[in-house]
Amino acid sequence: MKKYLALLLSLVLILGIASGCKPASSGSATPAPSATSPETPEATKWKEEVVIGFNAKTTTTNPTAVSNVAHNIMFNLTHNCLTGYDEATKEVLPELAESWEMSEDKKTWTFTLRDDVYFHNGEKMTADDWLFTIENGKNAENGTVKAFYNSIESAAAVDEKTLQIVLVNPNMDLLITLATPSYCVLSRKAVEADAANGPGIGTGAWVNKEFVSGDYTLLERFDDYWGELPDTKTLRFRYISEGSARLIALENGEIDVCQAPNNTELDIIKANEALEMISYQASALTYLAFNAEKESCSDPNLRLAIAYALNVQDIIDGAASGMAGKANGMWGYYQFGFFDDWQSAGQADYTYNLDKAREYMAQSDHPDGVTITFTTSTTWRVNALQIIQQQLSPLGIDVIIDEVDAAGLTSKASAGDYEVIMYSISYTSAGDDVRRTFYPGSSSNHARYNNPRVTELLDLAVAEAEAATRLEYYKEVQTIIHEECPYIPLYYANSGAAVTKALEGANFSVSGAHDYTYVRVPAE
Amino acid sequence: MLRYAIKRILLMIPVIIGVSFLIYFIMDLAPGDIVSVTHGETSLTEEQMEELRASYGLNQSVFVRYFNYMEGFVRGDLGTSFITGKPVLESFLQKLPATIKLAVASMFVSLLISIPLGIYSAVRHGSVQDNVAMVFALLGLSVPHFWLGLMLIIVFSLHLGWFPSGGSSSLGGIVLPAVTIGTGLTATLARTTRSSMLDVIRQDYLRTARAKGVSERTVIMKHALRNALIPIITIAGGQFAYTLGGSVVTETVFAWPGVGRLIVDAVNSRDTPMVTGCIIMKTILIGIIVLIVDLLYATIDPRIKAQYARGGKRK
Repeated sequence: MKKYLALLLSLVLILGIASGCKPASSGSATPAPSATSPETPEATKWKEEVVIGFNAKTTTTNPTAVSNVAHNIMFNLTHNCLTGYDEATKEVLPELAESWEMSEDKKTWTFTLRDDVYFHNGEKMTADDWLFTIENGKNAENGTVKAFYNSIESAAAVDEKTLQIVLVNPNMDLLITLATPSYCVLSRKAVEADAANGPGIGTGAWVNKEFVSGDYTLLERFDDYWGELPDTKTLRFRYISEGSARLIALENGEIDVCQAPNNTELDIIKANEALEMISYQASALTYLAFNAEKESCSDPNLRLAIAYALNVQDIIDGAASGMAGKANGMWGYYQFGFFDDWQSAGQADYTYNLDKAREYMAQSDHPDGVTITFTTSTTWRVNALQIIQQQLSPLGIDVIIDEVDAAGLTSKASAGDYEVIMYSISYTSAGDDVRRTFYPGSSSNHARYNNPRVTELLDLAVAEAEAATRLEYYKEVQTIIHEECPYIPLYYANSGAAVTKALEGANFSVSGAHDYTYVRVPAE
Repeated sequence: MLRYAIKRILLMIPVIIGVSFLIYFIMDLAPGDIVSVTHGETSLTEEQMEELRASYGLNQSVFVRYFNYMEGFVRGDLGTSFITGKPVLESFLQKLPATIKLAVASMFVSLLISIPLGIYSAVRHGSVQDNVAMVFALLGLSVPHFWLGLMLIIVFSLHLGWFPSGGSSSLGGIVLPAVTIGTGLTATLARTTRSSMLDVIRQDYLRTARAKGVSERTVIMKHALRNALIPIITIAGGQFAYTLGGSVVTETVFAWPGVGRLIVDAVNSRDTPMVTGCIIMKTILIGIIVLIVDLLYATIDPRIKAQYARGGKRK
């Protein structure tokens, strides 16, 4: 008996010691002003470290190697570009370039650079660093980065503060594109000294301090930053892939931001007074693409029949827990050139109308029905297809669902090995970004769409300096696409972040590439 | 014994070749490649994608690529990750300490529960306590790691605040994932301990020891347990090798930066050098652990030691 009591007491002792191993809480347990409207007085002391729980892994500190949401969040903090972009006002802003001029032929751009910018290694930024960045980019690992830099015919440093680039072809989206983190400045000295780690040296407000791929990234404030200094001293990004575990870490105070919480746990966040949910309609557009190279999908009447047979709201409610907004066009709703007023263009919205669907079906090559394979990946898309399967059965359309993993889906997409594919795409704010969806030969043109007039309009629009004329070109593109229906846009999924209520200064973007430069949390 | 150990190490070579061949070809059969994963949603043309494939060497036949890979392996080069651009060995060694820590902690939890439980069940064979103990052990095997991990986080981290919810930055961070994995290992080891002890407890020499007045505690712990250890060590060794391979589910739930997640992420990204290199390293580690287990037999059982001395041949 005594022995068992001793064993029990020892166990309690061990657990007591171990309980002291839990890190101190980093969040505020009491309600605080909203993260979006700071009311905290200036004399407030701020926590030295803010911790962000990430749902995606980062694998590199090199901005030219990878471009996706998770990496762009990092690169926005550690590096700067020539220009910036304000999503709210849709304006291009100066960043490392104070001003710029475009030549009459629209191919030559001259940028006047800031004179007070330093890299994290102490070197001053000059036009020569930009020359290096452009030359280096022409051989980048990332194909998109490589293609962009190869669209620059030549570059010259007029003087230390003046950079001149000459494009192969005019590009009115150049300034928006240059705001993308992949096109930030690299230090010639840093990269030539250390090709592996040199690209991680930027001019941003934050310095790469520690990077453990698949675990965490620690950034330290750069005290020689050219802009306003953040109040926080370090930012830690922890990779917690499991959504529930990530939310629990936020509730525990181990992290201050939980990116992309599970939709099924939003009620938990709303019920917790110490937390706030930041929700927004994200840029990811989910759609169906009909492979024009397959006989079953080449008939526009069949495609329109499917478009009118779909009750997209039911799909949103069933597959996305109601957390999405219906898409009315194959364009980013925030993107330059977005148009969806179909009635003014003499067309109808793709709203659920079974009678209309039956009419189109009767006029199609398959009035008695047809079997079509729909290919996709991920559970929620498969759930959406199951709903679509039911919605199309009244038309006699037998849907076979072909589920593959993510890599398999991109492989099938590349090879054109599908009839209909369900996919998602996130456009940037640049109007010309839709090129990858509609331009013949593009690997993202999942409909294998090839309309010479659309191709011509896209080329005209990207070279057109007059905004109003560009908008007309893009309107015509969308009108043609809507009529021919090679794609059926479904919805833009909602996304969000759960944060500790006291958090301030975070700037949330529809693209998911949130700006944490000035994030701060009051110290307890 | 040294000769036996060397023979076992040399036998690992064909195993490594077989495993690497299998993995390399399976990865090649899987749809998609690194280029389609990283550039599938861009505006690059097929020609540009093919150029990228050529830069990764993917335009060569799988046999040529495998041969080149093994040529590098013989020189100690496990290849370069398609995703990170860093040497595979560097990434593996970076994650290995965390995996070893978790494996050791999990085995500690498992041994701490299963051996006393197995001994107790054997001694109380057929009783209510025996049945309860075995049901308890089976529960640990039946409960999914994913669910158990989350429940432990909710109770011990969120509500009680005793441990962090995940990560490896603090000492307490290892407790919950170790308990999650250890609980799953307990059932098999407890049952093995129980059945092995039952075989030994019935032996005549123990009856003789009791008759000579040796205390029951000494009979069980010194005489019976030692003779029952061989199957226990076999199972425990196998389980340790298994946990050393990384437990993907537990690593994901607890954000534990181990080898398991590294391999799964590499498979999803079609990072063939990383997958092949990590699995080769896992194979080598498992081979070494199994060898250590075999050598441990010799320490425990002099009859086995003599067998090894004869080159593994029975008399």
